[in-house]
Amino acid sequence: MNKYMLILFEDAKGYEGMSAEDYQKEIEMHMKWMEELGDHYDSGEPLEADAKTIKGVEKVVSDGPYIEAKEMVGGFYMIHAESLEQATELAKGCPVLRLGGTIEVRPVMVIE
Amino acid sequence: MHFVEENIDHLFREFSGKMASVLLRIFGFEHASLIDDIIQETFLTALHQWKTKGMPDYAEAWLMRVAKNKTINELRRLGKSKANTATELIVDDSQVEELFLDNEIEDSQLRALFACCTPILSQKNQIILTLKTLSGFGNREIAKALYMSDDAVKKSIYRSRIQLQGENNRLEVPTIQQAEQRYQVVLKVCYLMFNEGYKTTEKPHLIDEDLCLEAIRLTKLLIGIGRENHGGSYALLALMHFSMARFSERQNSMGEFVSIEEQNRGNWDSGLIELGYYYLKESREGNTLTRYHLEATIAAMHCGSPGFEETDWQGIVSCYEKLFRFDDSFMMKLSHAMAVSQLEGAEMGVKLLKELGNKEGSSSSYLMAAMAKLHRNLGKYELAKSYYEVAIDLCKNPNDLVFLKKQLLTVLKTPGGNSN
Repeated sequence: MNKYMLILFEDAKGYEGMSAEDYQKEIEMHMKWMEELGDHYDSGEPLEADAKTIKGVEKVVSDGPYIEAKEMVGGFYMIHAESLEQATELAKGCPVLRLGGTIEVRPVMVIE
Repeated sequence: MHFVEENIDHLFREFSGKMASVLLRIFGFEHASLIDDIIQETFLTALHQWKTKGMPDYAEAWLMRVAKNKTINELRRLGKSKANTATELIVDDSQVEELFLDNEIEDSQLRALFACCTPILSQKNQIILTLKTLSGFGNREIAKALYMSDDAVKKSIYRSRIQLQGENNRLEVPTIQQAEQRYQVVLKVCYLMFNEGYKTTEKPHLIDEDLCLEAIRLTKLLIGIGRENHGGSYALLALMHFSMARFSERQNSMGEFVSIEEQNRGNWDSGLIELGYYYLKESREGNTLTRYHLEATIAAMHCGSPGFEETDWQGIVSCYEKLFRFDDSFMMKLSHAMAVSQLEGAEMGVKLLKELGNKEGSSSSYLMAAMAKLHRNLGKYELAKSYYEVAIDLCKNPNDLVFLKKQLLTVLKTPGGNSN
């Protein structure tokens, strides 16, 4: 199996007006999905909203993430799958999509 | 990455209630929206972390730690702000630490409960504020539970919080006399909250049961207080448990109301009924009779009877007569009349209902429906049909309407019921 990275783009508006019960359900869904992934799951990390961006030859540093945050990178998963198609199928189960988020699925380059 | 096996049902909601109580003690009602924010941000952090890494072993302790740190940060920020010289906020980290200890958290919940259940607010607003603060219900959930609009709930909470700002901002412990008075108010709020969840005004909402369970939880919280006489609270718990035993049977699969006469008693939860009897026994501590004692006894007699006809109607009638001392409302008198009709026959019931209609007006759908039922029992189907028709005209409530129409249909189908 190959490794694939799932980059999670999240819409901050998706979380507006959520009640405690809503958060509860979201987390339960994520946990359920991770269970379902089973051996496909490799790792995952959430990312803080704090960010610095460094650009180009002049190494200009600015505050904040690279893209203006309607959709910010919220975290990533590393999963194992047989193909990009399978990885994409697996990624469909990730609950961020329900809140209007986007997932970019990228194969990790294998260097012989 | 691991999966926690403990029961995390309503973890966030419970946590929200506990957190709000502690934060109220630290910040007071004037910083109510700051409190909301701290709780929201704690959840967002949790959601963010746990969805990639899984839930930690001691989820609640984790949430507490995050909330505590955010609280300490906010206090520092507010401490630096010139606008806050008027209020003496706790700024010592160790004081905050102390308030986050287990026994202090329970104490905070009780203080918050007493603060929210204040006669300054209307009973409805007391319920709404309690649900928001103590029970961790979101605005939308409260709106659904109480058949209100989201907006109306939001306004109610906003106004209540402002009204309470002057009152007892830092949730100081009330004097013994204040605590006694307030205790009764709190008990009433729990009773009313339970009734809201038990009502069958419309099709069932999932939140209905949560409302009942929350009312039970808050009543139990009250019993933890050291004071002489918890008889009323135990009686209320008994009433709630007898009612919960019948919770699933009061509506059929289509969400239609099923009367206690028609319910399948075999499906009543015997475990809950047993608990009801336990609490009823405990309620005999002390020597104060409350309305909850009487209502619990009536509920016990229903739950203990194998069938509607075999119920101890004499017992129920005398409980109703004692209840008049506490509540002589129209509905109480109506219920009494119906119980009397079971004991002494339908004609007696009709007589009482007519008296009730004459004294207090007869444009009540419930009164007409009761008259219809009794005339049905007497075999007077023409009259029963007319009474049902009037009841339907007067009916303001969707679920009741469905029930009444069904009853009318049954009368029309009875031989002799339709004289066409």
